[in-house]
Amino acid sequence: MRNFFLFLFLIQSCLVFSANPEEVFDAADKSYIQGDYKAAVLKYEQILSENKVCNTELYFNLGNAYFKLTDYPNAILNYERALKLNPNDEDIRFNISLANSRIEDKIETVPELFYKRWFVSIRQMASADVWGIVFIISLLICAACFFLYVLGKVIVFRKLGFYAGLVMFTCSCLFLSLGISMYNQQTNHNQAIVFSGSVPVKSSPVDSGTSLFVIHAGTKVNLIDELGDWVKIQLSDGNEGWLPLSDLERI
Amino acid sequence: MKRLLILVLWMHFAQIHFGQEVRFSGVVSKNKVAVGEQFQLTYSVNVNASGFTGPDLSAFNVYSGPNQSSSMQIINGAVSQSLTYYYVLSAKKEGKFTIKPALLNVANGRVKSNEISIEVVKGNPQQSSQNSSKGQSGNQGSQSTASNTGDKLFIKAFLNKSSVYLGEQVTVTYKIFSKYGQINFSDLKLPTYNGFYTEDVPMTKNDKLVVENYNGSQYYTAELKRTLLFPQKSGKLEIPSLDATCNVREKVQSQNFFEQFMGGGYRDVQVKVQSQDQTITVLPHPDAGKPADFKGAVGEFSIKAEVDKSKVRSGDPVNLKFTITGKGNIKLLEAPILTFPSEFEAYDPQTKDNIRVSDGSMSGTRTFEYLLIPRAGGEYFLGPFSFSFFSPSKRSYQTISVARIAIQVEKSAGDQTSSARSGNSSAPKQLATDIRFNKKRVNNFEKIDQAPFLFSGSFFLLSSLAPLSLILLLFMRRRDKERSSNSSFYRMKGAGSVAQKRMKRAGELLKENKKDAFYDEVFFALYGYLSDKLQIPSAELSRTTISKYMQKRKMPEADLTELIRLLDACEFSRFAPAADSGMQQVYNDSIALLTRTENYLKS
Repeated sequence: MRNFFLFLFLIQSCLVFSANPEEVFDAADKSYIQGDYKAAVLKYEQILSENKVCNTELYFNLGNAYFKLTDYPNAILNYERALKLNPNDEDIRFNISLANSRIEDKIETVPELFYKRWFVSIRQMASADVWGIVFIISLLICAACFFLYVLGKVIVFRKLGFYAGLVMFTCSCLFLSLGISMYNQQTNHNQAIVFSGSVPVKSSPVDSGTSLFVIHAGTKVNLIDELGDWVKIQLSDGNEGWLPLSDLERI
Repeated sequence: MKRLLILVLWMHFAQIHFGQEVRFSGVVSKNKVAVGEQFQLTYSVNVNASGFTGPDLSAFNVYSGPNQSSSMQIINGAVSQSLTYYYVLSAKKEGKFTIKPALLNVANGRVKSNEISIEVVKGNPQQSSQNSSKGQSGNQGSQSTASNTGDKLFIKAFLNKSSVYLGEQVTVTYKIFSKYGQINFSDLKLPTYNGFYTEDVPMTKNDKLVVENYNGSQYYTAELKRTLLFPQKSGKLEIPSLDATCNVREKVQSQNFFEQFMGGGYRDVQVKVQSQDQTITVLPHPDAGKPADFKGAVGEFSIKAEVDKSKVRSGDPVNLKFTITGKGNIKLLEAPILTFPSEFEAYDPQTKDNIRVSDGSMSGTRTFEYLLIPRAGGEYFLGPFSFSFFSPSKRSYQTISVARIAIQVEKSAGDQTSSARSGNSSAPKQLATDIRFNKKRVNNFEKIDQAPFLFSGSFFLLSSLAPLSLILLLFMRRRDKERSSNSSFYRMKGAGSVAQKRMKRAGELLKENKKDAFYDEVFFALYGYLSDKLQIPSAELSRTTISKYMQKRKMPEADLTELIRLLDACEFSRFAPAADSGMQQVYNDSIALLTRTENYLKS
């Protein structure tokens, strides 16, 4: 059903815009292969700005083009956006790590607790929508199991139905929580990339605040609070401070 | 000191001794000095003496003194002595000063020197090391400075080219031209060159003056300095001047016969000479046709590459010698970046030079020695190697190359690491890192601000399907169960109406006067009613069970006996044909009893 709507939408967008995203995408890829990375960037950005459509491939290729232009902050931003749409893509992760090795800040990530890591790694296996569908299916299976329990004539089937139903119910709860977690990660724009060459991170959200440390373009930060034009950021090594919002670009 | 001796020596060649006439005189190196300028005050005596009493020098700063020096010569059997006392002074303030005579004890008493007058003027104190000559006797030419010697003494800088390319060699030669046959350099200030790499040409130790014609006059000339310059930046570069302070001997008007007789009087003149600044235009290397491996070599070069052995075992080192021979800025050559097969471990090269700086140029060889260690067996080729330089004479870049060198590497049996690294089992070597290539287009474009499926209306609808269907199932199941398991309850509820129907039929039978059927109907109406109402199967229903259950329900005793009587009457009359008069009575009583019981059980 959703695909159908998407299809309708695509047809409509083809009618409205002379250049449809597919053609522009192919043209951009062609420019990229020819080494004209500037043209490729312009075309990819055109799809984003004119057609208002995106997908993980688009962000990935745009990131690649920026990378070739050695514009690493923009490359990382687009890679992160691609990763957000497709969190389990090995290529995106590889390119992010390569781009991160080219920027000035090398911030060590504080390792998370093992169960948190496991949860995140399982969560990254699918998008929020997929988790939602899995949740509905498992809930239906759970209901079917209880049907078997209620309507079963043979005691073995009834027992099986009951326990299987309990297991499926637990599973569906897990899937839902994974989905919610993923949903939050995908919809909350609480991560950002630093875009100014080097910015002092202040202890308070005013220009006169004490400079705690300096971060450079391309560094990914978590946004944990907002006050006016200032945001409170947290680095992956746990350091916190305030930055003007204009120095950042949300993922 | 050497200079002093020379001065003292040639002074004495012209000296004629008329016995031991004591001469004690004082001179200053300058009669006119600026405030703060250093000058020297010297007292000389030509006999052995002692007890020098210096003048009052409170108007001056005394840097050192009185210092004493003495010398003695024996010429043609005549012994001559000289003793010198000198001060290094500077004036404190301007004005005319007179230095009072100094006193000295000699063999026949005390002698006085002359008074010296000195004029101190305001002006820039020239602190440059004005080395004055130190010993001088009075009658001989006195020491003074000449500020202007005009074209009698000058230094010229000669450049062999006025416009060169970056890195191209240019030679600067400083020559002194002099009308004086004898020059002593007391101070030679060599210039510092900015923007050049310099290489001094060693001078042959030949201080003889050569006679040369310059601008129509004869000069004594000597080469002072020759330097090779290699410009390191383009543009107009300045070649600074060379400063020198010379002592020359100048002929002066003779003051007496003896001096004339001996060839005239002379005085020592200190002259400062300076060459003129020169500029040179340095052209940058042309951009057109610049080879990628050009690293600033300028000149004419040839290259050679050789290995010390062409057959090695893996793990054994091989020496590759890359030799650049030629003329040009060879001392500035960087090691070329050579690429070797990846199975070869290469170390940074060592540089060995054999470079001569001869008259006009710098030439020789520079050798880069690369240590290579092959790690895997096989046949490999090193090179071909190439080298690029700029040739100023041809005004173009030249790239020369040498043929590749074949190396046979035998696999060494014992070397575990090399055997592990060679062969097919080794992992491919990572040469460089780059990003993963673009992804293919897939037509799953999504609207940027599209709402996600999760937590959308359809999501909630779909997810509520399962629990709703389960609830529906349970509800229906419950109703079915109630229906199937609780039929006695419905019978109990309907007991009254069943009995009513039977009594209605019994009434019809009464009118038709069908005695047997009437009693049957009444009996079953009562019996069935009790069976349904008390939920006892009719087979188990007997008078005792009836009375037991009815007592449990607290039925009044009168009704119970009435019920028993009616049942008995029905049963009895079926077998006794007479007594039909009771039919109406039984019918009325039964209806009344049923009504009472129904009301009673309901409440």
